[in-house]
Amino acid sequence: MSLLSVKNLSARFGAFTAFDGVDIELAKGSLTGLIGTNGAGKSTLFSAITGYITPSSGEVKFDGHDMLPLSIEKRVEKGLSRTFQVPREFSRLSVFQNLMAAPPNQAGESLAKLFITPGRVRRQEAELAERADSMLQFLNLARVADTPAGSLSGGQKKLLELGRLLMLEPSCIMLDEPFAGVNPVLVEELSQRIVELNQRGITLLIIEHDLASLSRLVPRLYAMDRGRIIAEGKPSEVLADPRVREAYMGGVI
Amino acid sequence: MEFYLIAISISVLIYMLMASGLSLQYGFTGLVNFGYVGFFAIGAYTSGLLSLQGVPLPVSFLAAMLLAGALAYPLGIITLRLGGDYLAIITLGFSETVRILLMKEDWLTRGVHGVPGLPRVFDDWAGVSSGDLTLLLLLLVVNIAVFALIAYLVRSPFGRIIASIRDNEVAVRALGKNPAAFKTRSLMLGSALAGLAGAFQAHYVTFIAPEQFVPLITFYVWIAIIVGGPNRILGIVVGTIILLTFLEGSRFMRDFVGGVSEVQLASVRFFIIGMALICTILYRPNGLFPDKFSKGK
Repeated sequence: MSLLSVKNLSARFGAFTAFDGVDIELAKGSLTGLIGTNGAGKSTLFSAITGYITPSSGEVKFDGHDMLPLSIEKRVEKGLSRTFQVPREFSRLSVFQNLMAAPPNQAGESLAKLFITPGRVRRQEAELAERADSMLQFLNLARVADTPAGSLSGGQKKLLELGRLLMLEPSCIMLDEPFAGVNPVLVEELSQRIVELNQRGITLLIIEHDLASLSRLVPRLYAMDRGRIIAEGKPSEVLADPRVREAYMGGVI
Repeated sequence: MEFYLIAISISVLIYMLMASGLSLQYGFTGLVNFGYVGFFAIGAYTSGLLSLQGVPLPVSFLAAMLLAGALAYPLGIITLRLGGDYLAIITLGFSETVRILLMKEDWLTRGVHGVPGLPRVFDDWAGVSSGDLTLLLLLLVVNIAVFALIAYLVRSPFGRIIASIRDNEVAVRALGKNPAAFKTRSLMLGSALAGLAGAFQAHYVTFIAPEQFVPLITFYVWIAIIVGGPNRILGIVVGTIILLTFLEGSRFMRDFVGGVSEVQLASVRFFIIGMALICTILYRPNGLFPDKFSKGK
């Protein structure tokens, strides 16, 4: 059954076409990769699906809901979340507080409840702290729990950003270049975490330039070039596709 | 001399109330409000005019806070979906609009002549001489209560979200939270504090006029929190004391420096304050008391 269904989605800015007629189907619980050269339109496609830009035409359905009229926040509420190519940590909050900031519907976010039901706020904080602690264990960030997030390494920031999304308990996560600038050991660790998340039933779509790591990780791949999907299927098939080779190698090989 | 000390302490504490509110907006939420004095003016006029109609002071003070806070709401709705720089410009425009309205709406505010003869806070039962001292104590209690409130807020989940907005607003949206809602609340709370400070000012000085609410006052408060450190309560306290020491202390310079006119002295005062601000930014970019995570940045 399809969880995310993108049909004939296009985004044009004046004369410039970011992507055109894109179709993507993600089955519930699937793990899918999206590759493409720089400027192919992958991140812009993510932004259109998650609401950061408004596409010019097409359809985005998630879990049966029409997503395009919804704000970024509403789409996140429906369970669709994303990370960014450049990590967006809360730099002056500790790693632990970064995770604590994420969960939705916190009583303590309401000024009225802070004063009327402080006990409830405290209880909820204690529950969230437990979840945040186990998330820190899961992502191997427990050692840096009290460090300001701004001073983490690039790879740790990516882990933290993933952790922050997981605190939302989303049904679908879109990762934008999770391995970029991450050392090989951490790439391995990050890959394992992604597989474990997928085994827990979370649907994932991953943009990545590290083709070797990605094709080991995902059973299914989309390839984009110049704003269009040019191939889809098993990683071995997609990478062998002449159009993909042409796009990546410029027809040299 | 002790009258003077009481007077300057009252000024320090009124400025400190404003600094607390601005620090909530800027230091803890990252909102650049250049029209802060507008809310101070709204508070001063609200309480001042109501008291002349016979409204008891506790009620008029409360009205000053509520109106200043409430008027921040439409401003927030209009501007908070835009980027930070727009907020700075629009708030500056807002405070000037307020000042010009106060100047032009003679029927309500007596325009440029101002409103004299406002009742003082404790004179009725404490007398003029001990009235000031009692006011000082009340301001002290109010400031401590405000600090306690801010300390509670910034450590709460609400404080965590406004700090997240300050650090990265887009990421807050990616978590499914609406930053505008939180920013509006922070703007309203900080503005209510400015309104309260305005009410204290009006009933301490007993006279209000539009010329008291020029943008310079906004920037005095900014200087206080930037010098002290905008996201530490200690920074608010020390920054305000330093500002008022410079502002008031330079009055005494004439006793030591001969041959300087009053006008020249006023310029020297601006020069000293400007230099203090520049030195702070050069050598202590996060204020004298930075929060623990901003050090060395």
